[in-house]
Amino acid sequence: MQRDNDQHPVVRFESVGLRYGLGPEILRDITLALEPGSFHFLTGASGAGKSSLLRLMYLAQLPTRGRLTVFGRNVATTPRHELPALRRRIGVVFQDFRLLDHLSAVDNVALPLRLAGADEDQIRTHVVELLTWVGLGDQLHAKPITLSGGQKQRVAIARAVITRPRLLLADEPTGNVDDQIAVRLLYLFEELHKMGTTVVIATHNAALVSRFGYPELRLEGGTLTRLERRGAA
Amino acid sequence: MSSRRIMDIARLRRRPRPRPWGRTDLALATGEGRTYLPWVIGIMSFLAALALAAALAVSSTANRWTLGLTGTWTVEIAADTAGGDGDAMDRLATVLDILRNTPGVVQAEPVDREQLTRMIEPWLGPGASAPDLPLPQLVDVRLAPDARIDRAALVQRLAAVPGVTIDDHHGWVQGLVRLAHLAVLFALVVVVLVGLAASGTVVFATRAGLAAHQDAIEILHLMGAHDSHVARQFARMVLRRSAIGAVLGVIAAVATFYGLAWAARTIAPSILPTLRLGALDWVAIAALPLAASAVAALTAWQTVMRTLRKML
Repeated sequence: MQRDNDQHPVVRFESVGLRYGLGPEILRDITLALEPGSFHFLTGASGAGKSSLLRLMYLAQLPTRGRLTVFGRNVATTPRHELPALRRRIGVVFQDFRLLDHLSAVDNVALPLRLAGADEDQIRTHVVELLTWVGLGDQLHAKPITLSGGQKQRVAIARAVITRPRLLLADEPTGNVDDQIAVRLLYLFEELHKMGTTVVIATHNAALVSRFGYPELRLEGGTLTRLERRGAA
Repeated sequence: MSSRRIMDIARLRRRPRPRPWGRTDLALATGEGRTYLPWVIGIMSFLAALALAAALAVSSTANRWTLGLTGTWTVEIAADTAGGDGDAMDRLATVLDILRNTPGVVQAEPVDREQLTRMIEPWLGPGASAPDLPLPQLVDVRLAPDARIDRAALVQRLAAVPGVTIDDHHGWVQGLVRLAHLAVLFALVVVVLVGLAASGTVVFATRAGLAAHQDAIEILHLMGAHDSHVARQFARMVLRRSAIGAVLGVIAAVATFYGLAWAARTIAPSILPTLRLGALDWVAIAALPLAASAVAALTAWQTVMRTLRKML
């Protein structure tokens, strides 16, 4: 198992490009370093490549060119059997939630802890507390199919943060909830950020971006621009 | 804290602690292979067990016959209608005299006509007992276990009696041994072919399962699950379903085997041999479901591992 070197960026892109098959290049010459404990919003029009950029960060995809380093490890040269250990340090909120439909809300959220081999009693306590915190205390045993879009999203967020990951990546995490819940969820991400988690949130919600005032990574035409902001809420 | 929350927590705490080997993150119990896999494995196990039981029974029967014939000769005195019964009796007496005075011969007894008639009746029907049917006179000869008889010299002495031949059963025993070996070889080939077919089925069923649960598997993968975590769940599912199918298939095969043995005893008891299995044969047949389930689970494991290796 590799050691996490806090002095290195959590994620580093160096002239990274990505294309699917023989199609056009979705991402071009991405050069970026996410420092430990940083918080970024990832913005851009639909189809700009936000989800693809996140896929590279959560190790679902290899870049077609350039060098991608996650937790100090070059993903192209890291042995495959060492990738699960890296992935366990990354929490992901998928745009389409991707909950396991046959599992209850509790079991969906407990999944990352179980994969990490956590004690079952602790799993139950933490999962119930977190689900209650996100307002799903009365839906602990509900299957995803019976939950609304917003409720599924909260379960997905709870699943992503339950392990207190070192890197949290969220793809439109507030897309299906009202503004009040959206702000509440952002506060949750902020709490994690204060505890040292590096956070990247892909969003279309300009109001939320300006309200929290964290730096913005804007994707346009496959290239990335970093915009500094001030005046966090 | 609301009473509902307290109830929820209480419900969670009451739940038994999940065992690592029993937990499943994938809904494999609802997959397409749920019903057909036990059937396929059951049918394959039925065929394999039946082939194995038949081969072992043939082998066992051949061994019994071989043991029964080892150390025995049969002397045949051809029927001579021209000479009449008196001549036949004289020739028999001479043959018995020669045999009983040969060192190494423990016993030389003539087979009576009634016994001879019973032996040929299945082939000739009731006409075998006709008194005018010319039958050879047979003499059962039992040799001492360590007897070293000069067969050529004995044949020469018996040659003085017209129409006498000696059968030491050598060719018959050799044929039986070859047949038994062939039967066992055939059964092994059938078991191997059935095993290959069953493994192929498991591969397809597992691939279908992987395709059906691709999204869930990717989620587990992205959360940091090792390939073995997924493979274990598939192997466990295949093991359980294969074991059910294999046990039922072997039970059906044993029942069929006994049905056939009963039919052989009832329909043609004197022509068909008695089909019997020894203790070791039963061990081999009982091991079949274990082996089938283990091979199926291993195949599923390998299939999943090989498929997942193609993912990042």
